[in-house]
Amino acid sequence: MFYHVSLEHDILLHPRYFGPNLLNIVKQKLFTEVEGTCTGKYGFVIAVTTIDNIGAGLIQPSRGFVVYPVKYKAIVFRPFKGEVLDAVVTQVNKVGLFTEIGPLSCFISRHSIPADMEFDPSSNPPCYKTKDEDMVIQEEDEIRLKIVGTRVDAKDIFAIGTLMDDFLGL
Amino acid sequence: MATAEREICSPADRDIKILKWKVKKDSMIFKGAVLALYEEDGEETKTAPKKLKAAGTGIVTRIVVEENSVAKPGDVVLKIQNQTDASCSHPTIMKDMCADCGADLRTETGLAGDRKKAVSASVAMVHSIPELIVSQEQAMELGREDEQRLLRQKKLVLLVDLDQTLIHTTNDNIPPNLKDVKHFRLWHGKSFMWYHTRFRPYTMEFIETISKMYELHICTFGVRMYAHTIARLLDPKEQYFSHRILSRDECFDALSKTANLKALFPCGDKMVGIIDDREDVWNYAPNLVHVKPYRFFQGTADINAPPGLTKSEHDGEPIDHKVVDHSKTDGAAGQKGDEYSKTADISQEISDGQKSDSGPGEGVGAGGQTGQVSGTVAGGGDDKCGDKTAESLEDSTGAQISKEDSCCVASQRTPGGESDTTKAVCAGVEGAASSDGGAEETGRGVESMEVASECVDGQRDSKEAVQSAESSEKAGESVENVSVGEKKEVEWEDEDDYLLHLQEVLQRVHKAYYEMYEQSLQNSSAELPDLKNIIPYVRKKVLKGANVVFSGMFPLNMAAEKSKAYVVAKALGANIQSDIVLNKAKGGSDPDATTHLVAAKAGTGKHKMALKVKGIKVVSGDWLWMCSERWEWVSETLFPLGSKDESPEAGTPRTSKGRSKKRKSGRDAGDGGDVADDEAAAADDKNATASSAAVGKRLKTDSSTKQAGGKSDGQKPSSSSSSDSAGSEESEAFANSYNPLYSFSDEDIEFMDKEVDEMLDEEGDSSESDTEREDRVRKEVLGKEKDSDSDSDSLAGDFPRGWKLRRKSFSPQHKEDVEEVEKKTDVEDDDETENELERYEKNMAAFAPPDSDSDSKDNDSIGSVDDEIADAVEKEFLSSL
Repeated sequence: MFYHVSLEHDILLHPRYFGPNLLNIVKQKLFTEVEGTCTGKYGFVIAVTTIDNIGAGLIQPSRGFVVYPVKYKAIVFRPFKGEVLDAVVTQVNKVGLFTEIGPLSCFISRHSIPADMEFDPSSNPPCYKTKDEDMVIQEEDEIRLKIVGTRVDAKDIFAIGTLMDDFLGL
Repeated sequence: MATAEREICSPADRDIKILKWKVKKDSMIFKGAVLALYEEDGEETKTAPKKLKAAGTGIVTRIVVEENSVAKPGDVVLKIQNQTDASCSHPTIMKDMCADCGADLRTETGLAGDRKKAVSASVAMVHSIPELIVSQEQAMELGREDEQRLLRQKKLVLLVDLDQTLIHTTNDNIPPNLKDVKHFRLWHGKSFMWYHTRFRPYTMEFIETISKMYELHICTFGVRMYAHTIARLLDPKEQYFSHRILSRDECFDALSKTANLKALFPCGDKMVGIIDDREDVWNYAPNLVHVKPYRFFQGTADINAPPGLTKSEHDGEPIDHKVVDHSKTDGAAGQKGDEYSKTADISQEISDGQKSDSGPGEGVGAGGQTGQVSGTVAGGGDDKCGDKTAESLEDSTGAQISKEDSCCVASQRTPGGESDTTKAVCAGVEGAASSDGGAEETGRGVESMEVASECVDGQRDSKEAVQSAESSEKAGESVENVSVGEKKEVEWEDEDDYLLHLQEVLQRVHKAYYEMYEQSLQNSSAELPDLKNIIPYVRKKVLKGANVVFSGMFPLNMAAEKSKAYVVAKALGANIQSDIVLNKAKGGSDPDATTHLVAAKAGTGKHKMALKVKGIKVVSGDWLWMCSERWEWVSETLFPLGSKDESPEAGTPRTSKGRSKKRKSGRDAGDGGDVADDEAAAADDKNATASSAAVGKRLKTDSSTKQAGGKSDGQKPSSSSSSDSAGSEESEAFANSYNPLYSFSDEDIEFMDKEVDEMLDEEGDSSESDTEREDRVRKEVLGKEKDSDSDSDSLAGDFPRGWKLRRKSFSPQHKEDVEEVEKKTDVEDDDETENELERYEKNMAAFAPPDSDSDSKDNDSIGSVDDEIADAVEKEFLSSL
């Protein structure tokens, strides 16, 4: 699920950037440091929308670096158990499917794939398909899945998905 | 597994008819998921069917009421297993989460792998994702499916190693414009590192062919990124390897690849074959086909060898690359000229060595000198010659055929040759072409010829001539442009054609397996044939029917059964006899009669006996190594014993192996910087590659070496040993590459002989009068000034301290003794003696600390026998003072 949240981040800046462009550099640095990262609490930071406030810079004693506390708003993506999402298949193997939902990778076990679909390793690329081949899931396909579990680490989130429900799959 | 089953009853208070089940046995259901569509009895059919929804999560264990059947109120329609930690057996786990129920199995704040309780899943079935594990039962099920599928497709599994099997990669700086070398960078902890990869020749064809019969898996000790990068290079469409890539990151054991087999193939590795250049990482598995290591970049072995297990036998050996001309017909003349000069530069070393080796024939000697003076100049000269050859070749219809011959002839030509000599040469080319009329020659053949004929420049020229005859008009220009350094792709020559043989071996294995499988089907035995039996079986058929006797092949202090030769011959299915068995059946063939004598040197009792008996083929050890390398009954005529080693004066054909060994030893002793050493080693190496490449084109090789040999003979009789020594080095180098132990045996024997001689015959008689010898020595010394390259290396070796001491003690005072000793060695080998006498003369003249003598070649003796004898002799000498 996507959220628009207020977040804070400290920017550490080298003294060589002290100059007329200083605040622009702080902004630039915020984008590069924050976008694409992942926190366990908020999920993946997709994009910074607004920078609300750049606080007073504090020069670090004996270092010369300056720290700017920045308040900003960003769109974050936080997957939840039970959520239904569209994913792209990245790898197909005999144990299941690996998919990606933007920055989130998600695994679907073969037990969570409708039982009429079977793994066919001999086709190129390998795929899961029904007997009559009217449904084929292979790499790069877009499928809809439901998240049944998430593993939230400090820097990453991993999800387990399933296709065993209405309107899931291709 | 807990059996907390729940029953789902008919939801309505009337009879219901289940229209369609939306779930199956073992499927996972969640709260609110639709289980089935049903309609209530008596209800109008036009209303949409109602949905039976799950009240909680669980796994379906049994569907009680079939589709389209009616259930009474309160009837059980479905049984599900409660979804709790206890109920799901978590058969598939990804990153400590059950992939079936989504339960988190990791302890709070625990690290990866810290699970709340033990789980049944333990098998990492997918090569590249070690986090994904499945239970043993699941693994077996998947494994069985795989097996069935393979049998249906008539395929087998082949685990393919990368480094030194299919490719060779280096991190060293290499010329950036090498042809067919892929460059890529990988992140290496703190910085990017450049990798340069060269595919073994025929890799693509090999993969293509083999993938029809085998499911290919990569199994490498390289890191994951490396393995995947290489896989993408080898297989950009992912059609051969797909995701079946096992790298160091996924290896359970840093030193062995065997541990992963069980996980990848839970049903056993009966259908698994392996190709690898090292047997140790597979624990010498019987289903391994040992591949000859592929080396392309000098000084680099397997960059991904397991720590502490780096092979060092040949890593230090320089590889001498020759630049292969591949300029397009429309290539600018300037570029061509540039290339010529490059070739001249690079090959200068070689041609120098060889030309001086081949004796001070007038033209050739001069050529060597010219080459030494300046590569650029030589290149320019080459250009002229080459283009002239081109002109003449234009006329000859058999241009294609005569390529190889022209290169032989060209070896006689000096780089700065005059036009009339060139004409003569051209005539020779045409003559040779007609003699070798039917020969179909590939580019590779030419390359190997190139090595054999020991002429780079001429060969390149002639090749170029054939490729682009019109370049002759631009000769003048190209000479002028020699110095213009234009960037252009350089192609290093690479004669490795091992993959073609390997492909053939694997095809045989595949055929044998499915023949066995058909048989077992007919016999209705459930057992699948096992590749661990099939591969040795196929190997055993290689030399089936050969009755082999060894002579001088193993050291005396070693049990025959343990020696490499014995093991190899046995594995190839040869019957090994301890002594020659005569053919008793008259007219017919006695199955027990000896067919082959594999001898390390001629003149042994067995050898003499074998010569008397008809039908025994006498071959050198290399025959055996070659057979085992290719799994083929290689023609024996290619490996005659000692035929190359006989020089006119030598009574006993002592092989010149000792000499080449000595060169190596000199280098091993730590004097690798010595130029002459390197040169000699380069020659060794080159010849080795020539030998391996030669067999495919055996006839041609033979003829060309004969030609070369014959010509150098014609120039000067005394130099006849040069081509000989090249030939034997050729075989020697291969023997080394196969079994370093074996190569010592020859020298052991020789060394011991000499030591015994020294001890017994200090007052011995000489076979040569003093004046004769003096004369000859003088001649040698003077003659050697031109071609001392081949010897200087043996002077340069480091010696154990004892040797020096000993020599110092006796060489000035016991001149007579030394001379006697040397006369002894005279009889054995003329070549050897030349060096010794020359060196001795130098010693005497300089009265300097003597640096070498007959002992110099022993400095690498590592055998305990050697050391013992050496000590004894030393004592003897010291006490006699």
